[in-house]
Amino acid sequence: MNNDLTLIEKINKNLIDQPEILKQEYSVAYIFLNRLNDEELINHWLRTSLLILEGGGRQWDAALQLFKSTEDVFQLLEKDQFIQWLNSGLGFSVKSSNIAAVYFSSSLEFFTKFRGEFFDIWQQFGLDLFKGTLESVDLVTIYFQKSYKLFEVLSENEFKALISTVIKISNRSDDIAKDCLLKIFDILKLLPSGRKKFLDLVILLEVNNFRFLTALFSNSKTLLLNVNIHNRVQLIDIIISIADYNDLNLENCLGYFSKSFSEIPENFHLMIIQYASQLTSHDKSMLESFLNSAPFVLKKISDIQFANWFNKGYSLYLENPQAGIAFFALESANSKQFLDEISSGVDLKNVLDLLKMYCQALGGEDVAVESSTATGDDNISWVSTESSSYGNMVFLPTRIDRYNSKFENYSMFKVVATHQVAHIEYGSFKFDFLKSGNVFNNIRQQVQFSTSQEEKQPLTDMAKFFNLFSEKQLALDIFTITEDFRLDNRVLIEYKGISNSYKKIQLDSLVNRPDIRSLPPRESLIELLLRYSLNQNDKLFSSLKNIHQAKNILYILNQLRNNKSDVEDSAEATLRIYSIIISIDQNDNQTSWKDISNDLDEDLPYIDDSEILHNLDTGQNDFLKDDDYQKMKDVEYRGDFKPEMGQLITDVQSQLENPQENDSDKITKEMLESALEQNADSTGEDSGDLSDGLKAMIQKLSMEMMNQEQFSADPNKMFSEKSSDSDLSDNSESLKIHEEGTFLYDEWDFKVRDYRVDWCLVKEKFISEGNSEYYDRTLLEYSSMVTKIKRQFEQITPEMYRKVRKLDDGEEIDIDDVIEAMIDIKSGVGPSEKLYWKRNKVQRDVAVLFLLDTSASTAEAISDASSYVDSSNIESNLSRTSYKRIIDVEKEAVVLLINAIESLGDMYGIYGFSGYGRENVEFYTVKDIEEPFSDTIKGRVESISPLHATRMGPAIRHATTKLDRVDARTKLLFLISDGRPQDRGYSREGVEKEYGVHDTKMALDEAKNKNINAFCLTVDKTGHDYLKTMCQDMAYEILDDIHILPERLLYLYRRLTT
Amino acid sequence: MARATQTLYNSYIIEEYFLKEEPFYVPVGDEIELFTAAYEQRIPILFKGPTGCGKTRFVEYMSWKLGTSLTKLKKSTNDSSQQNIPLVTIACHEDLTASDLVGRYLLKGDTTEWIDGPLTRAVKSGGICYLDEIVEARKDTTVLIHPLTDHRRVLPVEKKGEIIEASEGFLLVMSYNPGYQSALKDLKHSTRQRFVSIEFNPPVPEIEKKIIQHESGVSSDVAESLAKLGEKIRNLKEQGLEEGASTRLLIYAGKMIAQGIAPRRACQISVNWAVTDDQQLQKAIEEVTFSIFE
Repeated sequence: MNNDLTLIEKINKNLIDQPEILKQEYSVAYIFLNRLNDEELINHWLRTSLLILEGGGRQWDAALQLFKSTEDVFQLLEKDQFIQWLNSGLGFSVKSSNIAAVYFSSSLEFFTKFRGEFFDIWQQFGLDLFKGTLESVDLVTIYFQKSYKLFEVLSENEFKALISTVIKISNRSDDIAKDCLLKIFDILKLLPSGRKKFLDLVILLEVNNFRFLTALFSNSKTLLLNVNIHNRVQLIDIIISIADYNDLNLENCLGYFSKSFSEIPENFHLMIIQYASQLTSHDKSMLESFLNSAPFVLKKISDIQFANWFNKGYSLYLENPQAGIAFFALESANSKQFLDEISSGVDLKNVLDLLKMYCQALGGEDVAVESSTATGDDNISWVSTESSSYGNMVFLPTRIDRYNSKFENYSMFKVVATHQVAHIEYGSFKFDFLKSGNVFNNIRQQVQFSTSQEEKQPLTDMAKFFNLFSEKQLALDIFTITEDFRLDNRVLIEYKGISNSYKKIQLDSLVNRPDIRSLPPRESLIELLLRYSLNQNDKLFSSLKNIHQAKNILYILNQLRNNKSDVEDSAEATLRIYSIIISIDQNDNQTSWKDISNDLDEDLPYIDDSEILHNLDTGQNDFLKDDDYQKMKDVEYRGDFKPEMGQLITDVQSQLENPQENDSDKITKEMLESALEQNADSTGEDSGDLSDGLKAMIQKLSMEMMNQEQFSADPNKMFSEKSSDSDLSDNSESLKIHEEGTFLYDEWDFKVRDYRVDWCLVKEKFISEGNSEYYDRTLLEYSSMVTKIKRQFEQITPEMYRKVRKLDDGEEIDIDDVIEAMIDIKSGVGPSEKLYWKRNKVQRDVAVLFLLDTSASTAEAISDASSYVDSSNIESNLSRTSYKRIIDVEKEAVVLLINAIESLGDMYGIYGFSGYGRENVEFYTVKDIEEPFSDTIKGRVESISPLHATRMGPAIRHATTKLDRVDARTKLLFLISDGRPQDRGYSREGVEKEYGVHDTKMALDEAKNKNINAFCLTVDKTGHDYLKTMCQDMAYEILDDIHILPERLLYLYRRLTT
Repeated sequence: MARATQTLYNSYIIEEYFLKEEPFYVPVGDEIELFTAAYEQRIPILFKGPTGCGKTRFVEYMSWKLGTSLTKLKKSTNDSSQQNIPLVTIACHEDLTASDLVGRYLLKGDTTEWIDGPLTRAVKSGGICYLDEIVEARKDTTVLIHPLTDHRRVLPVEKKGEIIEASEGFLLVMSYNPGYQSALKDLKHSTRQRFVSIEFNPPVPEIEKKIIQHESGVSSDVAESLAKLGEKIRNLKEQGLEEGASTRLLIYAGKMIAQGIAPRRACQISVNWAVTDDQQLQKAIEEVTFSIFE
C-alpha cells in the first residue's frame, strides 16, 4: 500500500491546481477502484493517471476522460484488457493529450457495444494513423470519435481494408482521410447490402482517381438517399464501372445522378440505372445528357415509351455519336419531335394557339385563353390543373395525359375547352335575378332571404341568388350540376361533331367518383344527381327511404334537357332541387339501396310551387346549422365553376368597356377586392385555390378600374370649373415667333367652339445624334422578322411596272386607240393624238409621316413581358432584356419601319413630339421627310427618349403642314401614342381632359381636309373612350400588347398603302 | 378597245336571261322599306357590306318587287302585264373607262355606228343600274355618274355631244365593301355623299339558316349547323380573317352536302379553304367544323 500512498499523494499534488471537476471525477473513480481491493490494478491505474497528469499542459482533459470512463469501462472488460486499455491510453497521451482524451471518452461507447471484441484492431489502427504531425492528431481524434461505429456495419476484414485505405489516403491528404472517416458511416448505413462494393469503390478511387474522393464522400449520402433503397447497389456498380475513367468528371456525374433520381419516381430508378449502365461504356457526356433529360422525359411519357425513346437514342448514337448525344440532351429537333410523337400527353402550350382560336370562334372574338397555372409542367398528374372560366377568360389545364393516345388526349382538351367556352356562349355569367327562365316558373322572388341582408348589397345577381340559401355550399353544388348539365346538353345538341368524344369523357369521368352508397344522405343525392347529369344510365342508386325525392330531383334536372333552357332555368332547378334535398335528414342511416335507373320514366306527381316554397322556408328555418355537408368532388372535364366570381368578372369587364353606363350600380375597385376576400371566406378550405391566372386577371382588372376611376371624375365638375382654369385664363394672349425653327398654330377650344389663334408655339429641333450601332443591333435582333417583312414588302413592288396608255410617244402604238381614232375621224369627231403606250415605272406615290409620342409616360416599363407567347423572334429578344419600356418598343418599331420603307422607296419622315405647355411644344426630327437616309439618322433613332407631356394637337398640325408641302398622291399620317393627350392646360385631371381630345380631333380633321389619311395607333388599353371621340370617322387601333407594335405597324402600313 | 367590246358582247349573250320568278330574299331589317322609299324619291342608294351577304340578291329582289321581273339591259318583251324595271349590273374594275359605261362608236364597214354603253341603256330604259364594287373603278370614272345622282338626273354623252335625260324609272345603286380601309381605295366624298347608305351584315343565324335551307336544299338540321358554323367563323375576324364566311359560302357548302358530300369535307372545301390560306387559322376552323358536324 506504500506505493499506493505515494502515488496518491503525487496525484493529489498534481490535482491541486486543477479544476474542481477533475478532482471530483478522480475521487469517484478512485473510490470505485479502491473497493475492488485489487492492489495491482489500482496501482496500475494510479500510475497511469499520474503519468497522464504529469504530462502537463492540457493533459487534465485526458485525465478527466480517463476518470470519467474508468468505472464503466472496467465493468465491461476483463482485467487484462482493462490494463491494456490503460496502457494504450497512456501511450496516446504521450503522443497527444487530445487523442488520449478522445480515446478514453469514445472507448466507453466502443466497449459498450463490442466489449473486448475488435479492441486490438481498433486501437492498433489508431496508432497506425498517427504520424506525429498536428494534422494526424486531428485525424486520429476523428478516427476514435467515428470509427468504432463502423464495426456495426463492417466485418473485421472490411474494417481493416477500409482503414488501410484511409491510411493510404492520409499519406496523400489528411483532409480527405478525415472526410472519409467523418462521412463513411452514414454512407454505409444507407447501403445495407452493398458495403463491400462501396469500399471497393473507395479503394479503386484511391488508386486511380484520387481527386474525386472528396466528391464521393460529400455527395454519396444525398445521392443514395435519393435512390430507391433496393437499387443502390446497382448504382454503386455503375459508379465503380466509371470510376477509373480519366475523362469523366465523377463529381458532376454524381450530381447528375443525384438530381435525376430526386426528380424521378422511385419505381423507375432501376430502369434508369440499367439504361445508364448501358451508356457507361460509351461517351461520358451522353450519360450526363441522359441523366439530365430523363426526369423531364419521364414526365412526358410512360416507362414503356421511355424504352422506345432510349433505344431510339441509343441506336442513333451507334450510327452517329454526335447525333446520339444531342438526342439525349434533347437538343436536336429529332429528339424533340420523337418525344412529342411517342408521348401521348398533350401540352397546352403546343395547342394553345389553336385552342385559343377555337374558343374565340365559339365564344366570340374577345375570349382569352390561358393556362391555369403561371408556371407550367411541374405536375405529373394526368390533368395538371383545373380548367375554369370567368368573364371572357377561359383557363385550361397545362397538360392532359389521361389517355394512351395523343388523339384522345387532344380530344379531351377540346372537350374541356368546349365546355368552358359554353359558359360564355350560353351565358352562365349573364344571370339576371329578375328574369324568368324558359322552362320553369319564376319563384325566386318569393323566397325569403335566409342570410341576413344587413351587411351589404350583393355585388352580382348571382350572389343575390345564393343569398337565398342557408346551406350555401349545397346550393352551389346543385347549381354547378344543373348549369353544367344544361351546358353539356346544349353542346351535345348543337355540336354533333364533338358529341362522341364528349360522351366518352363524360362516361370516363364517372370512373373516379365516389360510390353513391358510401356517402351520407345529402351527399349521396348530390352524387346521384351528378352521375345522372353525366348521362350515367344504370346503377343510379337511391336509398329506399328517399326514393321519391331521388326521382324528383332527377325529374327536375331532366327538364333542363331543352335547348331553350337558360341560366335562369338552372337557377330555378337549383331552388327546386335544393328544397327537396334540404328536407332530408342528414343523420339518417341508409342501409338499403335500390337502382332507380329503370323507373325514371314513371309519371311523377307534379310539385307545386307553393310546396317548394314551403319546403324552402321550413328547411331553411329549422336547420340545426349542420355544416357537415361536404363539397362534392369536381368533375374533371368540367373543372371548377365559380358562378359568383364569374359573373362578377363579367360585370366588371362590361363595365370597363362601357364606362358611361349605369353609374348607379357601378362596381368599384374596393368592392371587387372585398368580394374577393369574401369569396375566399365563404368557400372555406378553398380560399387559396384561386389559380395564378385568375389572380393575375383580377389584378389587371382592378388596375384598369383604378385608371378608369381616375379618369371618370364627375363630368359636371368639369364644366362648372372651366372658367376658373388658371392656365387658360391668366395668360390668354397669342404667342409670337421669336426665333427660327418655331411655328405658331391655332388651337381648338371646344367650349368656345372656335380656334384660339396662334396659341401654340412649336419648336422644331433635330434630335441629338446617338450611336448608330443601335440601329444595326435592333435589325439583327429582329432578323427573322426583317426577312419576313422584306418578303411581304417585295410583293408590293411588282405593280410598279405598268402599261401606260394614251401617250404622245412610246414603245408601240396602241391598236385600240388607233381604231378609236379611226372611228372618230369617220364619225367626224376630233381624234385623239395620244396613240402610244409604254411600260412605265410608276412611282409608288406615297408620302408618310410617323409621329411618335415621346411623352414621359413612355418611360413606363412594360409590365409583363413573359405573358407574351408569340413569334419567336421577339421572344429571343425579350429573354435578353426582361425589362423594356414603351419607348424602347417604339424605337424598335422605328428601326424596322425605316428598314422596310427604304426598300420600298416611299417618302417618309419620322418625328417625335413632346413638350410642356403651349408655348413649348417640342417637335423632334428623327428623319425629315425629304432627308435621305444616312448613318446620322440611325444615330438619331437611338437617342429617342421620353420627355415631357403630350400635346398632340399642335404636333399633328405641324406634321400636317409638313406633309401638305410634299407632292404625293397618297399621304399618310401615323400617330403612335401611349395614352390620351395631356399637357398643362390641355388635359388637367377632370377639368380639362376633354379639351385635349377635342383639339386633337380637330387637328386630325384638318389633316383629313388636306387629303391626308391619319391613323392612330395606341397602346393605351383604356383608350376606346377618348379615341372614339378623337378619331370619329378615322381608323384607329388599340394594341393589346405593346410587343406587337413593330409587326402591327408594318402590317398596317402595308395595308393602308396598297 | 377590242377588249371592252368583248365585255359588251358577252353581256349581249346573257341579255336574254331574266328572272320570271320572285328571287328568294329574306329581309334582315328594314331594308325593303328603305329601298322602296328611296326609289320613290329616286335617291341613289349605296350598299355597304361584306361579300356574299346578299347585296346583289337584294337588288334583284327589289327590281322584281318594284317592277317585277328582271332583265338585263332591255325591258322584257314578253307580254307581261306588269311594268318591268330592268336591272343593269356593271361589275367595276380598274380599267373601266367612261366609254365602257356610256357607249362608243364602232366601225361597221366604212361607216361607224354608235353603241350605247350599259349605263346609257339603263338611263334610257329607266332601269336600275347596279354598279358592283364601285371602289374598284377609277376615280375619274366614278365622277361620270355625278350628274345622274343629283337633281339633274342627266347623262352627258360627250362623244355625241348629247345629254340624255334619265327615264322615269332610272335609279343608280352602287355596292361598296369597306372591308379594311385602304387609303388608296376609298370613295371620294363627293361621290359618297350623293347616296343614301344601306348597311348589310351577315344575317342572324335563324335567318341565315332559312336562307341556306332554301338555297341549298339541305335539311333544317344541316342548315342550322351551317349557320352556326358561319357565326363561329365570323368570330375569328380579329384573328386575321379578312372576311368571315359569307352566306354564299355556306350555301355552297350546303349544296355540296345536298349532293352527298360528307359535311366535314364539304365545309372544308367550300368554307374553310375559301376564307383563309393561313394554316393555323384553317386548323382552327377545321376544329370548329369537326365540333359541329359529325
